[in-house]
Amino acid sequence: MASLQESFIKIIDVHKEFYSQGQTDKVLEDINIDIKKGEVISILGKSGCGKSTLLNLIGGFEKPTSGSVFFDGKEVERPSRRAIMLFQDYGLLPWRTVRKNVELGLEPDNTLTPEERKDRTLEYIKLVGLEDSINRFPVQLSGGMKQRVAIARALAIQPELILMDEPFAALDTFNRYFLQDELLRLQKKEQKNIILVTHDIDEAVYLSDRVIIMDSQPGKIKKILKINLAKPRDRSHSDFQYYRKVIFDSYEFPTNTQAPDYNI
Amino acid sequence: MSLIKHLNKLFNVVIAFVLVIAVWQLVIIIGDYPEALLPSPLAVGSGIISLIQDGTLFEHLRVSMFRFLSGYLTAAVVAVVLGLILGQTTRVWGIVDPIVQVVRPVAPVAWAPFIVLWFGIGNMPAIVVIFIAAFFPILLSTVSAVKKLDRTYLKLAQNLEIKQPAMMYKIILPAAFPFIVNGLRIAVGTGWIFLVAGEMIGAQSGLGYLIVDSRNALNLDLVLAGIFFIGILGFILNSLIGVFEKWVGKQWGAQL
Repeated sequence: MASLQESFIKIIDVHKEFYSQGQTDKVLEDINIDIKKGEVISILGKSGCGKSTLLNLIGGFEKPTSGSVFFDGKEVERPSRRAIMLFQDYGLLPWRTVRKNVELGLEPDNTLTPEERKDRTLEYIKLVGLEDSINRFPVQLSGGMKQRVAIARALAIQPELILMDEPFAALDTFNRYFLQDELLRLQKKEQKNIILVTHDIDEAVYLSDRVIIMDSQPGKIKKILKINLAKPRDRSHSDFQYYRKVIFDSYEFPTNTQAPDYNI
Repeated sequence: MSLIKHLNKLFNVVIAFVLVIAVWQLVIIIGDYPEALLPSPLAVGSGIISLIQDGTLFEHLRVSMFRFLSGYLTAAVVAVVLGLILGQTTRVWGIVDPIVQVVRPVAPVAWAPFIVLWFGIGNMPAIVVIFIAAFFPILLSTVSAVKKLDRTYLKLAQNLEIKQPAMMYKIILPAAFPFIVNGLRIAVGTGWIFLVAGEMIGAQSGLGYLIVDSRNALNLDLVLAGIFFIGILGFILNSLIGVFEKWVGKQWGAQL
């Protein structure tokens, strides 16, 4: 299929199987996705549908059993600084302060002088609003703050793609909403591609340009839904509810299964 | 509150000492043992004082500490570096592990004939014995710490393209360090235990030598005095490494 816009990430006929104790476990089957530059994509599915595995394949942390993943025209073979993963448990080093944790991402970059490294670290810590906690250790931070450090570290590297594995799952609703807005603000400013894995329908509709709805066992793409709403979106708007319902209906939830035990 | 706690602790220590001395004296009175068989607390006490007064104690202590630290610190550096490398190479560790498991249970002093042949007499035998005693606990704890490392750290390092050797000192060593410290603490104990044994091989000074020498002269009160000092010093060393362990725990964000 020729598209007018060149695809930035292309996943072609990807299958993934895991072997354990002589058994083959089909995790992903027949995955085909085309992602354009600047798109925000959610991968939505029940736990165990292989959505984290898919994210790991895109990031180069694992290899497909068959098929291929292309990133900017080249086949993905190993993780790279151009595609940074944000881990579910934030992946901060507990022995480093906020500043040193953000700086960690810049240390392997030889093109930066120590001065530039320092400046950029500070710039991104400010961007996520943590300049007051710059010398604190991760253990002294709340979950939301830790996630913001991880986001600052990822953005400071200035990657083209950010992969997020259930980034806000461990946060309470208020923090989650707040960080979702932050993420949109940063995405608008930096124009990054974002692929995030989630099981939260609301989060998927709120953040993404397209939602990939996955089926489980084995993980397959059930549907790709384009969200045609301007950002920032209103969670209470009827259009928002419409998309929620479309997604909701694509999963077969048992409805009206049981009549109440009593009648008045 | 904390002062009361400390005082309470100190009080317990005093009670323990008094209790031991009382039982000891009682055994002598009831059993009617001659001084040559079991010296009285008083004799040992005056032995301790005489050792302090003529300064021989401090000379032995200095020598023993030097040997202990040389053996222990060398073991720590070598074992941690080796452990970090071996922990990352499953294949090589698979080969090395059986060798370690066979060599480890051998008491370091069993090597004494070879140690004297290879390293001569003087400071070296004790240092080598302490090295062997401290080496294995540190090596094993380092290897298992590296093997148990949180996978996220390794993924993160891959993602940020952190290469060796930076990977080693920026990620693996600090991530494994709280567990390595555990091995370091155990090794202080085993190393110190083998100090006496080490100083029985061709040494002319040190706390272990003090005991051997006093035994040869049948000065049992000085033997007990030596034992007393070794015990106290071992206790102090253990407390120091305990403080270090706590500090590491704090720096590494361990929650209490």
